Amino acid sequence: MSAALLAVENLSIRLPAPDGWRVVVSGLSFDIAAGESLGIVGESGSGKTLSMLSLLQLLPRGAAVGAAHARFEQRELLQLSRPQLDALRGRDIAFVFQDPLAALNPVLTIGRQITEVMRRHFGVRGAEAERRAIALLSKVGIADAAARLHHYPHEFSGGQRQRVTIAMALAGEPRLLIADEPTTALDVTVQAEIVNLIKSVQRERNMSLIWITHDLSLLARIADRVLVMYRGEVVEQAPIDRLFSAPEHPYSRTLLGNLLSGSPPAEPDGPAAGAPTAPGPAAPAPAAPAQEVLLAARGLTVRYSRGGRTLQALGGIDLDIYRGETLALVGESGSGKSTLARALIRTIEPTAGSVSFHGSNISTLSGGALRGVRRHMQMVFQDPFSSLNPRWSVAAAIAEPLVVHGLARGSALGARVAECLKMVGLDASAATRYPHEFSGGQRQRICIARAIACQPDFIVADEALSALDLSLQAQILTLLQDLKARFALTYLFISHDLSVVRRIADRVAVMYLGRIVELAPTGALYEHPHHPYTRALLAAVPIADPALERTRPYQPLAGEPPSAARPPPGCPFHERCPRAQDRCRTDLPALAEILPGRAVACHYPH
Amino acid sequence: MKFLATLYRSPQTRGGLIILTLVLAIALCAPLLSPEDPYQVNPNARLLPPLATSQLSAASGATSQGATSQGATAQRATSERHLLGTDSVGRDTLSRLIYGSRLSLTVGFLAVVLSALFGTLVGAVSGYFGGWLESASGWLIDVQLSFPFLLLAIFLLGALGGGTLAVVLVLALGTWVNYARIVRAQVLSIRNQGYVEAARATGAGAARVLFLHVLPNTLAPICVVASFSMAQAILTEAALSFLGVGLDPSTPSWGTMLNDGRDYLVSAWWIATMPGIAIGVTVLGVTLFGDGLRELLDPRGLR
Repeated sequence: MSAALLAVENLSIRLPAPDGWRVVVSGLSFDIAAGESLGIVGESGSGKTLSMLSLLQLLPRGAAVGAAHARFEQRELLQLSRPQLDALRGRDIAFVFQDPLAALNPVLTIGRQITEVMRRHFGVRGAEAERRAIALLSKVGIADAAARLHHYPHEFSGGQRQRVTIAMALAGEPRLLIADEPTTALDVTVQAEIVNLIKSVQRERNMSLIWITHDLSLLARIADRVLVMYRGEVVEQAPIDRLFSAPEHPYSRTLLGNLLSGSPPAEPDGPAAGAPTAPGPAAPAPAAPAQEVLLAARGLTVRYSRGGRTLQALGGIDLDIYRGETLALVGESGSGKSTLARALIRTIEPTAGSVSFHGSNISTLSGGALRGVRRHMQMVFQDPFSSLNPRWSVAAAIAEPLVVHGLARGSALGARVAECLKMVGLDASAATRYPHEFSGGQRQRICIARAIACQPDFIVADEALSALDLSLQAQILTLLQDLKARFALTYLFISHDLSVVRRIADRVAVMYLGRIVELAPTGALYEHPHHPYTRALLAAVPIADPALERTRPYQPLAGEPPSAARPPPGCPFHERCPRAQDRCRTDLPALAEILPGRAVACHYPH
Repeated sequence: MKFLATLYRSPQTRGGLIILTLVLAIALCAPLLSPEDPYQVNPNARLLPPLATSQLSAASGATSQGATSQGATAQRATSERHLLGTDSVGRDTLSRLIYGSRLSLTVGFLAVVLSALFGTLVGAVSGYFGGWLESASGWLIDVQLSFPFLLLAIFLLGALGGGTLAVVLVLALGTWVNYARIVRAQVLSIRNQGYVEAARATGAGAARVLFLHVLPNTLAPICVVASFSMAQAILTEAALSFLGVGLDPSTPSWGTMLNDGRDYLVSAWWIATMPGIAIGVTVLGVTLFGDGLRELLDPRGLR
């Protein structure tokens, strides 16, 4: 192996704290050769991002960074002067950040932002810079690059924005690209495209790559070697294959255990799928046909009109949710998952259609009667930080549904709050404390306690795990399953994470552009997806098996989801569908049962 | 009591609390503290500097409305020490300052409380419910803002006929718009917070969500505006009196004293400076206390 491009030894970072110093990273050593891919995995707060930022002296003032050495091509990074740093940043080492919207300046065209890098580092300007920028944009997969050069960041979708920031990073022709969770904010299909893009650029330029992530399975497709970080220290450093086959540190094993118990989705039975994956735990049994319908939607439609344009968020949904099942809603962002859930429990007023709960129509209820029904339907939200009122104690938050519905008061109320806290695994002493004193996972437990306080039948979990670290996800998932078994709950589980869905759901409804395109029992859906979109979605999920990931042919889904303001005629998916025929461009396929319990909205299902 | 004890812990809030308590005590005990009758005019003692001594004229005591008895006045009639000097008609500045605190504090507090309540209510309702309520309140705000305040005040006070209560009402009318606009903006953003949706999904009604979830979280900017408005109200009251539509100009209030002193800034600086300091100190007290209160009401600020 050639000499290391970047060699770091014994890096430590301390941040000032009210009582002296807080050590956030210690004893970090690693090196990376030219053309190599290094993955850094760890939970939030484990120091991944801070260590990378510290190498370019990008940490906030006051942070104390020390290292035996941090050498990039014979240069000691920590001893560079400002001008030397300016010449290095973006030229030799470039960053791609998690949130592309925050990383781009909203008042400058993307052309300006890309050419700025070239002007800065190569003195290239004017027409030549524009020509190079257009070439770069085309390379990162922006169609019609010459025209898009003059557009502003808000005119791009999330995935396209991330492509633009990658183009910006590549503009300096860096030797090392540091990608800090660049796909975390993106849908799984877009994630797959971005990964493909960065990997192909890397091969072409023999660039080194450091990929920071909390998702170990993603690294199977990306990294040669992996650094596992835990609380500011490297607990394991190993080649990717060895880490997945024989992890040494207990923490690595926990990380992997979380992945494997989630079980990677099986390879859809496409033409090239030969290698059988390790069988996961048996998929939950499909819902028995003769079950009682708890909640039924008919022709549920939500339209927004703004400035004369109509945006159809939900296009006539028919859906039955059976008592005691977990139904998962999956789909890309903007597909209408959350809108559907909110229209079902009527925190959004549907434009048309009806919802019946326990057999009685609730779409005509209002005021007190509607609030009465809400007692039986509760919701857990994505962001545990914003969904608790910062001014309310935990006890007050959990008691609220009980107070609202007049179910308990005085000492009975306190007792019930304590009981709910215990059910979600928190100590009764938490009651008098305030939300800011709790971590994300604990807050989500509080939100769950609030949701179960008035003994509802039906709970909507809207991306309830998405904001949490992997190990916490597993805990909360277990909690949800326990509660379901104890109180015969019915869940509507909204998620974009297909491995989580596989673990918890009985049935899965796949949504695309405000419609359900496939509805099937979980096991059957993962084994044999019928709709082309479902297949693309499943294929985009990273598999926690490096060997398989290397051989797996992956064809990313072309293009972006169409806008709900201008839905394409015919099948909404036809523009991106590999199987589309003439009929798909004109006729909208209805959701039809093709096998017992399996419905697909497609003219030519697999 | 625990509440007060917590307030007392922070040095800033303690300062604010001490200042406010002192000012209030002075206002309450004005008759006991003031050395002279604040209404008493003395042509022989005009524009005396602080610490000067005056000779009382024969006319003294005739118009006494204060607590000092005729006899006491007569006894001290020969010479009187004016700790903070006298004004253009020979009234004792310190006494007027002490008595003035009563009126200024009453007007300031009442105006602030009234305008904050009304403005917050309008802002909250229009921000939370939107629709025609928002249009209506927006219209109300525009109408209010399109009138020059002083013109409106003169007109209204002319119609209402002056008096403390009328002045308070007019002052509140002039400032409620500030609260309404700030609260509306706050409510618009808080309305979309997760906990508001969570409360609604739980089944909580609109009033409950608005008053228990939304409004408490708008408290911080309200406190800030209120402490500024307090000073503004005290000064505006003076402006109104100066224009002859507010209170009787002979009534001691910090605002009227400031106005009186305006013409003598060069020759007799103390007339305007003393009430200025009094207003400054009171506002400082209100601000410190308001800040502490705001922090105390926010659980995130507690250790």
